Amino acid sequence: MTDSATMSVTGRLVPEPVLAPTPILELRDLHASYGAIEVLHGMDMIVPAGGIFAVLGPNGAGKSTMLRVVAGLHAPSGGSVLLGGRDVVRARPDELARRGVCLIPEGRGVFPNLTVEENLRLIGHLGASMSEIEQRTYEQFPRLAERRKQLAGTMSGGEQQMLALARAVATKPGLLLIDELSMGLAPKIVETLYELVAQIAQDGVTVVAVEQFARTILGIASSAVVVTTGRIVMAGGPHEVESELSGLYLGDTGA
Amino acid sequence: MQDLLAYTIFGLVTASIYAIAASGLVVTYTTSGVFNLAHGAIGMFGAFIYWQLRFSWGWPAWIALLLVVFVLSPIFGCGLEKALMRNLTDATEATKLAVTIGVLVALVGAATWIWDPNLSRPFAAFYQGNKVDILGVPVTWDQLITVGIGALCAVGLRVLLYRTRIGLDMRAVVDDRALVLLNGGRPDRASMFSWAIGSMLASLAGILIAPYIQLSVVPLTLLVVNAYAAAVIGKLRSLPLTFLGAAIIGLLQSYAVGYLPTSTVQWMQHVPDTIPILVLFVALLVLPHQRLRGHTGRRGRESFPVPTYKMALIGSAVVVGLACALAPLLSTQPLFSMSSGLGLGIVGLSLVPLLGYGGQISLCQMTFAGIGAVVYAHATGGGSPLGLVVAFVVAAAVGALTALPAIRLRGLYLALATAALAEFCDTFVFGLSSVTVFGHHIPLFGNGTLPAARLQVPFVDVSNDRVYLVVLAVIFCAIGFGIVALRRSRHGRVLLAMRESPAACAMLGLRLTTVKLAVFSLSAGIAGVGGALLAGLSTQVAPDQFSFFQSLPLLLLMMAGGVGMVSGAFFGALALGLFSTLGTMSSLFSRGSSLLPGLVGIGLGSQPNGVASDIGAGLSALVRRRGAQVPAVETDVVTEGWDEQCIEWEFLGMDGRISRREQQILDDSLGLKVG
Repeated sequence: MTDSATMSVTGRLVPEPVLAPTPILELRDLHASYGAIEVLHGMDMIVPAGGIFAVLGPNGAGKSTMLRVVAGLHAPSGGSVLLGGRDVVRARPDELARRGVCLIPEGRGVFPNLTVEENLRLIGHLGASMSEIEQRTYEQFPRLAERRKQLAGTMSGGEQQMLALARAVATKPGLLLIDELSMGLAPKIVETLYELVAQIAQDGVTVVAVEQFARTILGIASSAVVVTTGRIVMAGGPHEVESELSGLYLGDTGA
Repeated sequence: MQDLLAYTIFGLVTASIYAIAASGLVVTYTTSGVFNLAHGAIGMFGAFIYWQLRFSWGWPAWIALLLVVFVLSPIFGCGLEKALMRNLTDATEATKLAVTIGVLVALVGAATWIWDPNLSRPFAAFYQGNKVDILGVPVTWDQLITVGIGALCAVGLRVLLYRTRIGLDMRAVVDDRALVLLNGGRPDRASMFSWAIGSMLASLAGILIAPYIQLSVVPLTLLVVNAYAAAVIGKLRSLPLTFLGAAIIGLLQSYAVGYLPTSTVQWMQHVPDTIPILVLFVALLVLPHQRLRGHTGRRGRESFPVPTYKMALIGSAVVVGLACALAPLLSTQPLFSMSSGLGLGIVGLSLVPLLGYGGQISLCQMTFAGIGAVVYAHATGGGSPLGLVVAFVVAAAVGALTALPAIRLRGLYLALATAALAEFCDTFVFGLSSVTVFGHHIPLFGNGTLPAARLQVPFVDVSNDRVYLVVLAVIFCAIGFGIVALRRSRHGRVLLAMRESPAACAMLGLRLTTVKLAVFSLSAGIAGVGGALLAGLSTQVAPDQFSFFQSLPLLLLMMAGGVGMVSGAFFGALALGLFSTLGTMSSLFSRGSSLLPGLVGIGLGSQPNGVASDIGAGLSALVRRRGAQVPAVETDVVTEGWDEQCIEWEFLGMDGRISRREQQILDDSLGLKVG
């Protein structure tokens, strides 16, 4: 059996879900700080390949920082990030992107002054033909097809996040990191977006989603952790976490 | 009718050149967030190298052109991006501008050093002498080529930005640099490419315009102000609007030459030259601006300690003591250099409240100094101290008048507005022979220079140059003391708050307009006093002493000294004096006199705080060694002697500093641990 979570010969993470012994992402004693202030105090986390992995926690807990470190945007001050068993702490974000790690950053992960079409065109590094990418994307996200010539910044918040998701999916990532997809969006739209995320995960992409809408994400997650003040304080299945959550974390508004 | 056509054709030729230059500016600004004030200097340098190859060494025109535009310029642009601009993404607007001014000043210094400015250099246009007839109007081949290249640039840039992959990357970098990385793109490569293109366009514009004006360093460099106007009409990002702006300016200028009575009415003589500047000013004021794009410096690397009266007293004693000690020792030339350095230092002091505290960039302090000098020369026959007061008041009033329309401008746009004012005074006001204000006749530089008397001080013989140095030192310290007092007052804190976060100030109910107006006129007034004292030093005033270009090295050296501190202005003055002394020692130094300030300015990219705060930090470290050790939690300078112990607090992306106690409270509430 091929081990999907390890790096393939080309160095890319292979997206098919296979029950692999090696976790797709592992953080070991991860420390990160901004200037003198440390925000991650030795985080350990294992993300198995396949499914949706929810990361919950209050503001300022270090969730976004953790994602930025994994994506190579922020250099950690200690510890290691293992991607398919290989340490990638020194890798640049564009290298990681080429290897199949894709981060949708907080806010709207789109280029507002480029059209929808141009936003998709930016994925040129995979060697896939543009028309193929566009065709596939518009099939999966018909709403975007209607708006292909529109500037991304002029679309609604939900549509922008949809575009961010679409672009991320088009890169055929092995590991998709999503930072607060719900930010500033109505609960109804958030649900629609997470239905899309669930589909993406079913297609074999491992998703790590940082989220404040705990109930929505726990509904589709396969496992979850809770982070407070830079440490993992709870880990387990979604139901397990949900039942104990209210005591720890009051940010849940449900949907 | 024939005339109209001829002027239209000529206008389109100039418009093409402005468009080429301006589009280069826009391309680099949109992709890197750095407005390249050195754009004109790069064009000037390109034109000089072309001259060297084509006319001095006799190479064929097309080889020289290809080598300069397609080989040397892109290499220079890439080098500039990699060595300097790449590190500026998190710097403040002032630091970014200072670095490009540094490049400008250094290139001007290098060019005057390599090519002796006293020699004349004929610069023939392409295919000189060949003409075609268009509807009865003779048009030179060179003019046709220029318009053709302009059109080619318009089409080429459009295709590049909208039809190619690298163009898409360049536009994406503008929107979100980090996101490009996350998509596997290389933002650095896109930036480098855009700087290469920017340099190519600059050189091309320089080579094309050189036949129409003389091949001389500073005019070629500052001609880019005309391109700024086109770029501002394009809101610094739209290429079609930039081309439109260039067309408007080129045509207006050409029609002005054709139809205004420039040869019969004396004051009209320079009006055509001022048209682009007026257009720039009007465009800045009228066009709605979006908020400056998301290139604001978040890290707040620039920081200065609060001065104490004790330190101010000690500093004053040192400055006056130094002046007293040096005055008898120096020979005539160095004495004059140091005095003029100190005089310029007083003009530089005007930047401390304006730029250092308030964060407002002004490129026209020497212009205010010039106004002060003219007023002083006119108001005082015998050098009465009242002249200084009048110089202060008039310069402050002009400063307020300038600030009034420019008040809603911020950062880069304000800098451009002040540049426009300085250029306006250079090309128009200082070129008049006299002005009449309310029936009062004030002679200007029309006849070359204006005589000015030295400031009279009771019981002191100021006609002695050595005594005058000490007088300058005392006045420098007095003004410095005033600025320290300002910084320690509520007004000083308001200025700092305005620099750190204009939005937060407005939320607190502060009236930013009033604050800006006040600090602008105070600063202009101080500059006016400095100008008056400089006029007294040489007992005459010449317009080139107070030109736009003179403001640039001054700004750089003040920032290098540490523009947030009075002592910084002193270090700047010292450096000005020393550089000018070097200039008197060898003609080689005097020719390249702006090379050193330029290099200093370039260095600001990595050391934005200037030397004064480093020296202060070193001194207080010495003091601290004797006392208890401060735990090393700070990321930046720790200074026990200063009354605000600050540490960088970046956690919430705040562009500011907070006291250690506030830090503790915040850490406790967030459950964070420092150290």
